[in-house]
Amino acid sequence: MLLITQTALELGFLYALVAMALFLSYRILDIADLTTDGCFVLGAAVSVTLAGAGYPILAIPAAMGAGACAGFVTAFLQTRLGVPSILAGIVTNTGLYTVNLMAMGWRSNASLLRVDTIFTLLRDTGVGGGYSDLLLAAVVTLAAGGLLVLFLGTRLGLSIRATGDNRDMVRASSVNPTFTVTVGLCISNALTALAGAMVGQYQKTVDINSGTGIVVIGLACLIIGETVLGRRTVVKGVVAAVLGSILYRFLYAVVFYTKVVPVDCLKLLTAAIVGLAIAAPSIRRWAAFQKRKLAAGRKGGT
Amino acid sequence: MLDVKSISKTFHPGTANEKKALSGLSLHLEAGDFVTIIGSNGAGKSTLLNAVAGVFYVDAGSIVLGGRDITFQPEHRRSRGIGRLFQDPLRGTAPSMTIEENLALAYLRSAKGNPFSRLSKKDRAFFRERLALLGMGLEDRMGQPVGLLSGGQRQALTLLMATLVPPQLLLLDEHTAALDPAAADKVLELTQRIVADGHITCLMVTHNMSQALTVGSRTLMMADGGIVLDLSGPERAAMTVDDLLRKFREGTGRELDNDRMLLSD
Ligand SMILES: Nc1ncnc2c1ncn2[C@@H]1O[C@H](COP(=O)(O)OP(=O)(O)OP(=O)(O)O)[C@@H](O)[C@H]1O
Ligand SMILES: [Mg+2]
Repeated sequence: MLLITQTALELGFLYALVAMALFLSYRILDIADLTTDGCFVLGAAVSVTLAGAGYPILAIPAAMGAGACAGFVTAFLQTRLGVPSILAGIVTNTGLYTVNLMAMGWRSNASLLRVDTIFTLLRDTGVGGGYSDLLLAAVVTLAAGGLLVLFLGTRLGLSIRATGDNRDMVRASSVNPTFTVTVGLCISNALTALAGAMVGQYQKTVDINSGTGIVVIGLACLIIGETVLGRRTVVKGVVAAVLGSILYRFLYAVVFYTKVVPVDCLKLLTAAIVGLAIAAPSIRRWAAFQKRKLAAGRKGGT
Repeated sequence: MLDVKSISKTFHPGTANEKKALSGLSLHLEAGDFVTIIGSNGAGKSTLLNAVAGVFYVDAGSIVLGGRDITFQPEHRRSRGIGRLFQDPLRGTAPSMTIEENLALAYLRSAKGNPFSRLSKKDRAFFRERLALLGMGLEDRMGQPVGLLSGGQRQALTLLMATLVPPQLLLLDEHTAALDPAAADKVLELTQRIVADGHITCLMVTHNMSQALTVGSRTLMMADGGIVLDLSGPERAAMTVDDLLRKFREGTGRELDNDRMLLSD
């Protein structure tokens, strides 16, 4: 039981980086960035390959750099070449499939056997004892979250936030929205790749399809967190990403061990939750309208 | 200060919707000029302001601001020297960000801004002092999202943001038209004060005929993408709203027709 809790927490912290990335792209920039799936695998592929070659620590920033490049391509497609933003993400994502195979040495999966990962390195120092994996996952995620909050308070961060709010105003403050979108997507994809890089070394394996649906799961986490915390400020948003991700992993664990629903159905369930949550305002409006119609009908009838 | 030399702009050229919005328009402003612009719907007033601000590039002609040719400068570069307000009070501010964050963004126009610097105590004190000038109590609500403010408050804040770093040129496009009369008066009064205090060169489109004659120092009348009347000095001082309407009729052979037009206060 303790082990299950611990694993859920570890995975929760690691995948929270994806939810944080989506907080930046989806909530702040108002862009549904479908690069996420491929970018997660890219981070994992770079990380596992470099760890396999003996550079587990270097692997992390390298993976983030690769993710930032993927974000740059998506941003370039939509800001300079006029590709609609959703399509831009899909195009990059498709291209990444090949890039990811390449990063894994043209194989569809790669594993780490008897080599150091950042997790084993920390375990060997004895810091954190039996909780060293959790410690590392939590520290990395909380540090990334803290830096993200700090960054969004800088002038550049403020102009990125204004981009999703009012692009006219960004231009009026002498900043090019093309630039802010680009920086925003580079950072969010670096975060996604960081998640992939950490998960890759944590699980000591990467598969070309391991990113499928990550974007929806990340959104689910964010929405769960926001439902608990509300979504007013940047700090709340980042905390919501972490909290939501942990809750999601607990939910996942519960489903996995109690088998209330078959685990294979979890993606469908997640998709349904995300679809409903995003549709909630429309559904609420529709319900209110039906109620009014009903009330008007009753009045007319009597 | 501003030199607009025979600029033209045609929208959707070569289609059934082709529309010549500016035709060979020229305009010269001295530093410190405060010019009001009136004209019928579709005369090209907004298009002129958009052309100067760089929303699109003109088809022909050139625009020089403060000695620099800005004809081919993109909008975000021009905004370093040009402040702008629209009719819609929602267009100038970011609703989900706080008042001080909005002001911080406007402050980016100053050259010394380091992109990684954060709001300092000094910035906050400066913002607070400037907000107090509006006399709306906004200085005590600096941490609140702008979305909570009324239209008049938002427009006053936008005005402050546009002039926080004094612009070379301020463009106002019927910026009081969507406000209730009290708020409109307040925002206009603030505009006059800020423009006078900062010696800002200003182009203001208005739908209010008497305002066009009393505010500022020069009045332009536009029709069909050109300037048909340019009034200043004693001639302007002696002009009444009726004279103005008659002049328009004589100049264009049509009545001045604007759906938002106010003939008096
Ligand atoms: N982006 C655009 N695309 C196509 N046509 C445009 C565009 N902007 C303006 N026009 C056209 O150019 C003409 C001039 O429009 P403009 O908005 O400058 O008029 P205006 O003088 O500001 O009028 P109003 O008093 O109604 O605000 C109009 O016929 C308008 O339909
Ligand atoms: Mg107009």
